[in-house]
Amino acid sequence: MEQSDIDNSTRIEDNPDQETPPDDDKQMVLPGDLLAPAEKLKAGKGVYREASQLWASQVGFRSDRSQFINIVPFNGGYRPRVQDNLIAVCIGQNPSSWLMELGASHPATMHVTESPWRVDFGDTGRFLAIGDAVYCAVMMVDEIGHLQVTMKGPGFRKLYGGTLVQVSPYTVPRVIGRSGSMVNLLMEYTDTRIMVGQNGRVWIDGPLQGMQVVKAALKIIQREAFSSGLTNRIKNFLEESQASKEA
Amino acid sequence: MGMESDIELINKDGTRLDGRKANELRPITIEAGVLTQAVGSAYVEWGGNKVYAGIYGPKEAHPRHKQKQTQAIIQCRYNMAPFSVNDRKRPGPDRRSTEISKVVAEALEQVLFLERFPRAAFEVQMEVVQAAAGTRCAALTAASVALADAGVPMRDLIPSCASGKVADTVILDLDQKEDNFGQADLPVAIIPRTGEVVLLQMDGDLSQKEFPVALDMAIEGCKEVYKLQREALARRYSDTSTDGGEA
Repeated sequence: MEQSDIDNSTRIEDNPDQETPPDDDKQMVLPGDLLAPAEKLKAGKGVYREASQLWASQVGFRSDRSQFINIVPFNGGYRPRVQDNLIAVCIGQNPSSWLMELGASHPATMHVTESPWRVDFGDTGRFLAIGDAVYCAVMMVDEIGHLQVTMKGPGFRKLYGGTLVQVSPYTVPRVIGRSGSMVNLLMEYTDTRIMVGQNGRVWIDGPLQGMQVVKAALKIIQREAFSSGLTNRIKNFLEESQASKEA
Repeated sequence: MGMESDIELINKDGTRLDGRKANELRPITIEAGVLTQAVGSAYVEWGGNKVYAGIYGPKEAHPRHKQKQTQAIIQCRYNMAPFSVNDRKRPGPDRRSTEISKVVAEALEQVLFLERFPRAAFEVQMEVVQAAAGTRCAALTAASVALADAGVPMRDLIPSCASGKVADTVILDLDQKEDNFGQADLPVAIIPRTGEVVLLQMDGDLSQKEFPVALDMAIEGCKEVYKLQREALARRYSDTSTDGGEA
């Protein structure tokens, strides 16, 4: 087992793109809703400007930050951004690169020079086979959607064993929790190791029963991602699971 | 359209066969998020029509020669189930379903921010499981809600509704008998925020005086459908909008 004992919670905190959960005064908006005049405020994520007004383009919560109005959407696919740490799956091999699937609209390329190994030309299959998962980062996104990922950096590695679970990329901040509180809770109660990618892929490794409990907890988080008191409900669920295991 | 019949489609009081007035819609129910496997979905019951819509993507556009380097494409598929009509419908694409797929895609193109997804495709699947006149309007209405449910950035929802002429009277939302034995059918779809018309077709004949009356009536119908679309999306996420943020 090529496992490095890296503190997962530290790595999770490294992810810069986490959005904090919505505030209490959140307001739900739908596409086409008028948000504000464009004179004082600027269009952030999920907002567009037309006829000197700002309008919502997605279903979600309105979130005002400094001069920007953003929408925190309830649903949607993963849109890669540079420096996103994520879990990718190998779907193809070339003599000097791999084709990696991120859950985005297009697959990404990972060149051998961006891997942690010394790979001879044509020998890529020896290091990453089709179906292998890696923890990596988005290195480049260009204007027509070409993507490149890298495994150069601390903590990036090939994932051995365990299982992958897909959650909505927009619920990743809730899966992680404030300063990693939710994921630490899951790991503490289930004796598992968990890595969460910004693309919504969650890698779980540990005892079978613990992995099943984490999967069930992730389903609850998915369902109730935008409701209050989620951490407490998950804690209760984990305590109940632990009690039934001991009984 | 235009079939001969002795049926009195509108009686002397101006009441139609199903008891509706000339400018009244059939009962409409819209539900968002009904399919777990699709990114976004919707179900519309409109009188006797039952239509599902599912959204997949954004994903890499295939075949690749259809890719556009600067924007996404919409791949619509409108399909009627063999059991959706009185006589069994021969399964598979035909002239009519190809046409409806095309006009629905062209209507949706007007509201989606396709330029944000270069080389990608949005797959819009519309399945008519029961047909009773007005399926293209029901399908477009469902597709629009499903796209919003999928978190696809869009300028506004698209409601759609038909008007027509029966027994020399302009009426709203033709049912099966009115469609078969009527004189004209005018399906319309609009962008409510701007008032732009994104679908306008006509079967049968309307005079120059009747046409604007029928168009206005259809637009008023669209506005009512728009309210129902918004309610459906709000209902889908109602639990999340009423709760507070993370404790």
